[in-house]
Amino acid sequence: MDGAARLLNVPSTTFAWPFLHAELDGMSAATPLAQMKFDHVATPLWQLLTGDTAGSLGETSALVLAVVGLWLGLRGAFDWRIPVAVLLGTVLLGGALHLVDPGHNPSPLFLLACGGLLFGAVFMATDPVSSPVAPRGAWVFGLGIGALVVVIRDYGGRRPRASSVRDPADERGDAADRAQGAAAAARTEEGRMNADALDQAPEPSSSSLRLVATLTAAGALAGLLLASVYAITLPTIEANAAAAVRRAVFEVVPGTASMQKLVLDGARFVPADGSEAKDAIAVYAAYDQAGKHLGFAIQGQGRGFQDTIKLLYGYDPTREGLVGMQVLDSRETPGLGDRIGKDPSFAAEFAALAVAPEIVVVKHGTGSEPCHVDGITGATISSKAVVRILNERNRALLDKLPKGDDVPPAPATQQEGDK
Amino acid sequence: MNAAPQQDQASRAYAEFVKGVWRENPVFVQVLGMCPSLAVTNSAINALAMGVATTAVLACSSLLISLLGRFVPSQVRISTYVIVIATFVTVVDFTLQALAPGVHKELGAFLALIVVNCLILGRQEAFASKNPAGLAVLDALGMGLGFTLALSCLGAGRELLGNGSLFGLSLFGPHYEPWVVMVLPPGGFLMLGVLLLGFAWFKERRAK
Repeated sequence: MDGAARLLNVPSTTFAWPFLHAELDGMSAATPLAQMKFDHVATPLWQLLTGDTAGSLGETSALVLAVVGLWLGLRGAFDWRIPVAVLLGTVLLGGALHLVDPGHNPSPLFLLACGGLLFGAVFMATDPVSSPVAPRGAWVFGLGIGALVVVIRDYGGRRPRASSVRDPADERGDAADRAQGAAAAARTEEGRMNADALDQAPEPSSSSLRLVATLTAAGALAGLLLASVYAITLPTIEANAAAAVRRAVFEVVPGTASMQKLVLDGARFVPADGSEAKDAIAVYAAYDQAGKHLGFAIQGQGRGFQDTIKLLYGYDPTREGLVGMQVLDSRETPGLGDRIGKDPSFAAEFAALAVAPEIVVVKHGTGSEPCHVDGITGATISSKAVVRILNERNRALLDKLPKGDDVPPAPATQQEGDK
Repeated sequence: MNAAPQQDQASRAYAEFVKGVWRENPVFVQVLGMCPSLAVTNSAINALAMGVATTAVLACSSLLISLLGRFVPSQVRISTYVIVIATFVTVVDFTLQALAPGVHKELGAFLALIVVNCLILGRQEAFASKNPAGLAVLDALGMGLGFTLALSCLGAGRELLGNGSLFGLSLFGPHYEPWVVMVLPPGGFLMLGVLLLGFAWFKERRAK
């Protein structure tokens, strides 16, 4: 906040919130849902009820939302079935999953009280333009939303290459973002229309068979087109990615003039000769102009806030520390999480960073040890994800890297980065 | 005798094309597609790339919907439009990733979000599904051009003020103190507000 105030040249008290935490002029933290998902920390229920927690404007206090929803429902401002069905769907599916695996799936009470669920159930699901008018349709619609919320909250964003479907109830972005999964949108639409069709006699001209047939044909055609475009573009995309990695090696190990790709063969790294498996674990040995070995560029990847984060970092064995880090690919939230790759001051944190005993993320501006990384305000989860990837890679690979005379000599012909 | 209807057709086609550029400009008049207009216009090149990508998706979708729209039952038309649009967005995504990885990285998540640009769905529902393929494509290209122009205005203005450069070329020399807020998210709102104001003022003066 202070930064924003300085930027706009207004007194920082402009942003002060006089009622809670009066001594601070601004604070930032991950939302309760993110804390649950990534750190398995449950926010106390009382804080969720009163809204003394992080979240988007208007969604934080479950108690206020419940009262407002009750009042609006009693006044007949919307169809009461929709919010009730949304909450019922969440409790039924969330409760069942909680009973199966309480360690991993949060309790239904937590699900109800946090994120934008209550806000969405009262103000968004009941939107008169896009909600069903028939009573039975309202039940189907609401139960479907509730079930989707539980599925996305408990299982969303886990598969490494899944398209980035976000938690619809934990959105910090604008409303348009929520419709991100086009397939999900299509399904919702379809479900709603079918629900409508149950209650209102379908138009005589199109039987449900024709509706299904049309959508199936459209889906099949889309799939065919996508599969062929994917097959055509894949080699170029992979070549681009490989070239980007080679370019990045020059960045993360300063002074690099040539490099050699090494792949893990059993317990040790050997120079790559092109016959290795595509997914073999690889590092790049980097050399300066005189052929002196500078260090290694190591590729790592892992789950970020949205999707897989891929990065490359330079490791100098003589200093036992990192000398650089670059994010190769990420789909973190624009403006917040994507600063892991775009904020030069965050990248600078890795220019001289000790790896022992372990790299630790600290709140911005409080780093004191050589192994401390200043996290990005507003992107705690993404900062932590980067450091987690680094630590995992370090643990797995550092003692396997070739040492001293085992390091292969610099390649005779200098390899260009952008081939 | 034949010349008059032909001329009519030509002028109709011309009208459908130019309306999107000025009179019904998607950003300045219809105020559609605000998400990309605000989010990716922090530099001229990003704005231009976003505009071109959106135009490509819009033109392909309009062509297909105009040709096939009458076979689609009205109950599932929106679902079908979304499938068609999402398909072309993914095609554009792959293509950019292969041909222009730098631009692809810069646009990031907003490329996939072209799916939910209401301009595209709106043109399918309002125009492409009811008009012959030729007109639908002209309408799409016109709207796309209008969208691209509007985004480029926003992007060029913001980059100029916030970074002192245009398409990455520094214009004002090293002594220019950049107005950083213009390339940050609030700058999008400021610039859009100023441009909307200017547009409305210009239209009012012309109407008099």
